[in-house]
Amino acid sequence: MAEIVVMRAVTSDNKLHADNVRKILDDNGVIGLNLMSSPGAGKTTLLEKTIADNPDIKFGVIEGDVYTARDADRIEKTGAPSIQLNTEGACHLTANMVEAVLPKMNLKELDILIIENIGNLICPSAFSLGTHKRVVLLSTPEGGDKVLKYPAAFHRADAILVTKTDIADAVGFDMNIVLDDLKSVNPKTEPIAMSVVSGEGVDGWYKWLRGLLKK
Amino acid sequence: MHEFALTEDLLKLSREEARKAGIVRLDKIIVSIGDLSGISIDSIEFAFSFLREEDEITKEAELVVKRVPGRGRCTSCGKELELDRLYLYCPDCNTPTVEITEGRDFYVVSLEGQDADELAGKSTESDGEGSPES
Repeated sequence: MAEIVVMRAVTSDNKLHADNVRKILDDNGVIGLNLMSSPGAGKTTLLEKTIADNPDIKFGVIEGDVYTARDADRIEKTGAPSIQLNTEGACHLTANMVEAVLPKMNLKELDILIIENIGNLICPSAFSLGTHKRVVLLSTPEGGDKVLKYPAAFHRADAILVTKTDIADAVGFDMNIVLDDLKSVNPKTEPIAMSVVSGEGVDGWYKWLRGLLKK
Repeated sequence: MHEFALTEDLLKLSREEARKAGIVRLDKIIVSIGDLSGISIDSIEFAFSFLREEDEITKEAELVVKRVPGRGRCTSCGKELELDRLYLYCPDCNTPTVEITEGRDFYVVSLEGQDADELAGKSTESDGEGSPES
C-alpha cells in the first residue's frame, strides 16, 4: 500500500483561479471588489446609486445570482457595463466563474470592477474571487445581532456598510450591538452607516471607494 | 451548503494527487478541518458518501477527518489562546488584538491507496482464497 503526503488546501484549485483573476485585474489597472451580503440587503440598489453619483469613476459589474438576469438589467440602465452570472443552484461564486467571464469585459476601460456575489451571508466568504477588497453589507431590517451570528463574512471584510439606516428606527435596529460585536470580530474595519434613500452616510462610502483609486 | 462544492474540490484534488503517484484505487483520504473554518464536518461526510462514487479511483475511499482546534495569540499581551469561534477579544487584557494562528484551514493531509500491481496482486490472491475448490 502506498501512502502519499499531500498537505494541499482543498481550496487550492479555487486559489489558482483567484490568483489569475487578480493578475488580469492588475495587468489592466482595475480594482476588484467582492460585494457580499444576505439577500435583499441592498447590494444592487447600492450599485445603482454609486454608479449614478460618481460619473467620473468607470465601473463595471459582474452580477452573481442563482437565477435570472434581473440585476444585470438594472445595472445596464445605469450605463455601466454588466455581465450576469447564474449559478443555477450554487450558493456562492467561485473564482473560475469570474475568470470565465472576464474576457467579455473591456477591462482597459474600467477603474473599478464590482462583483456582486450571491445573496448569502455564509458560503461566499469561503471562496476568494481574486478581488482586492471585500465589501460586506448589513441592512438594518436584518437586525444588529448578525455580526456575531455570521462572523466569517464580517471577519475579513475590508469595508462594512450598514444599509437602510432611513428605516433603522422603524425596525428597531441597534447600531451599538454592531459596533460592539465588530470590536471582537473585525476591529480594523469601522462600519459605514448609510442610506441610499436619505443619502445619509453615502459620502463615507464614496470616500472609501476613491481611496482605492489613489493607490 | 458550500460543503458540497468543497467536497467536489477535495475529491478532485485527491484524484489528481493519487494519479500523479500511480495510485489506481484510494483506500483512505485523510483531511484536516479547522474548527474555525466555518465548515460543517457532517455535511462534508454526507457529500463525500455519494460524490466519491463519481470516479472509480475514489469509489471505495474512506474519509478520515482530523479536527484542528482553533488557536490564537494576543498581539498586545502575548497570551496564547484556544478559540472556539472567530472572536478576537483577549480574555486577559480585554483588547481586540487576537491573531488567529490555527484552525481556519481545510487540507488534504495524505492519501492511502494501491497501485496497479498491488491491486492486481491482491485480486489474484483474493480469487485464490475465495475459490472453495482450492
